[in-house]
Amino acid sequence: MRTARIASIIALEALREQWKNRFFQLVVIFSGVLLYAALLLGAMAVEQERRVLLDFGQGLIELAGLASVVLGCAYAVLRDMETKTIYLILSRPVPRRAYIAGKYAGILLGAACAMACMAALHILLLKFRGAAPGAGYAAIIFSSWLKAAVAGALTVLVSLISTSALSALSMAGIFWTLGHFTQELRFISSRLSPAAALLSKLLIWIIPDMGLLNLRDAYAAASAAAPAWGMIIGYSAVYSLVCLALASFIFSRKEF
Amino acid sequence: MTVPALRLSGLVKIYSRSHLGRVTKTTGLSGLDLTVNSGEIFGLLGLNGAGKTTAMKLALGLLFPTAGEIAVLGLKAGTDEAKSLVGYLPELPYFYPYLTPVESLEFYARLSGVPGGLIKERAAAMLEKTGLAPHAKKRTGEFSKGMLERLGLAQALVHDPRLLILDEPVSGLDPLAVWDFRELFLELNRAGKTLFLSSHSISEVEKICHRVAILKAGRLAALVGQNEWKSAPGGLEEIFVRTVREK
Repeated sequence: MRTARIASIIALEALREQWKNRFFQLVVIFSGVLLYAALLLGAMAVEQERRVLLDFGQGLIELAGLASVVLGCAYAVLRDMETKTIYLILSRPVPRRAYIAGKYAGILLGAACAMACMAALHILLLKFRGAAPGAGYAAIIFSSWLKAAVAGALTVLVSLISTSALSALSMAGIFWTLGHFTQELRFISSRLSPAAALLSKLLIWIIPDMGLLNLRDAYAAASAAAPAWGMIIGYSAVYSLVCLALASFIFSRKEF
Repeated sequence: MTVPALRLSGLVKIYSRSHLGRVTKTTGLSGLDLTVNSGEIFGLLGLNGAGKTTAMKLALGLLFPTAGEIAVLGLKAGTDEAKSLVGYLPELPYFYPYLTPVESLEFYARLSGVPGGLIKERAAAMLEKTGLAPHAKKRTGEFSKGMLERLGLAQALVHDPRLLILDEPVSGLDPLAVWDFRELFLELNRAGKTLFLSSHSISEVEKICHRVAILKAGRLAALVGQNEWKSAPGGLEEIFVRTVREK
């Protein structure tokens, strides 16, 4: 109970930090400008205007949300360590796991707000062009946020192992990209020698399965079945929790 | 019998740093025994690298001991219970630059478990006590070093701790701020707080401390009481120089 209370205090501070550092506003303005560019693209696509507008906008929201979470997670703890503000926090009765959970939750909350604003802007643009967002719109944005959440948890873990924001960002980028090719990796591993297949299976376990969370493609395919929400949310939650638990363990052994 | 504010027993700290598979070990403290009594102002003197900051960070749970034990007011150091009784002022306190001092103090008060209804009152009182009230609406990013140090002291006091651990609290301050800090330390001590501070300013330590420990290469080289330095011809400075030069 006390850990949750402390985590919520840290989370609200992390949210305020995002707001005051203007990154949140920047994301919204940046997306507004690019969504306007999407309108131009849509006009050029003529008959496929709705499709282009929808895909471009949703892709942009996903990337902006991902960038916001991954950057936030890569720098959140490391910046506090570098500036030594962490001394004033950890010399208080603050459980280290609450600090990690709070920072992560605050960043996710900030990204959720930013993505919701961008989605609202996107829907307005679609309506303005006489197109409907479609039935799966909210589900797609939510799944994009889940992808960002998974990538963010992994980034927190990597940032504590590598103690460099740049390497954490690079690793997150690599894992995020590879995560979209887990099906292909499974296929390749079935054709490898036993030793190589074992290594490849291990890699598949470690890499987040972004394909599972990629509802944009699922909705685009006409034959797609209804999303398995239990699996999608459960996988995201378990993957993120395992990353955060490992991050908390590493952080609990750090000295300042 | 009163519980000591701080007890360090056989404290050893060895820093291990690994670079390209090569491990370098540096001794921070080697078997330090020290007791700070409740209600006293205790000074820690020593040359750079003598182990003053290491001892303080170990008492706060920011570092972990290699061997030995630390008790804060009878509680195991580093536990949440022990931390809630301690206020810490680091040598160079840093704050989130986008926050005002009021917002900073409220944040730290919340983390320290100050009841919700008292947070604003405590933050305002600490700003007043440390002379920051006229700057309440500025962002801490605009603060000078002296103002940051004052805010550092305010955050250390915001939860009304019983033990204050102050790392070089007057270094780099102007004479007026040094005077203000000294008066505040004496006032806090009269109110029953224990102060454990490190400093390079022997004259400051001499003015306010009841006892002083001189550290040398991570060990306790001398423990000096107020009466001893008052009766010594060269005061505490001479005792310090003689102690650190002894082989």
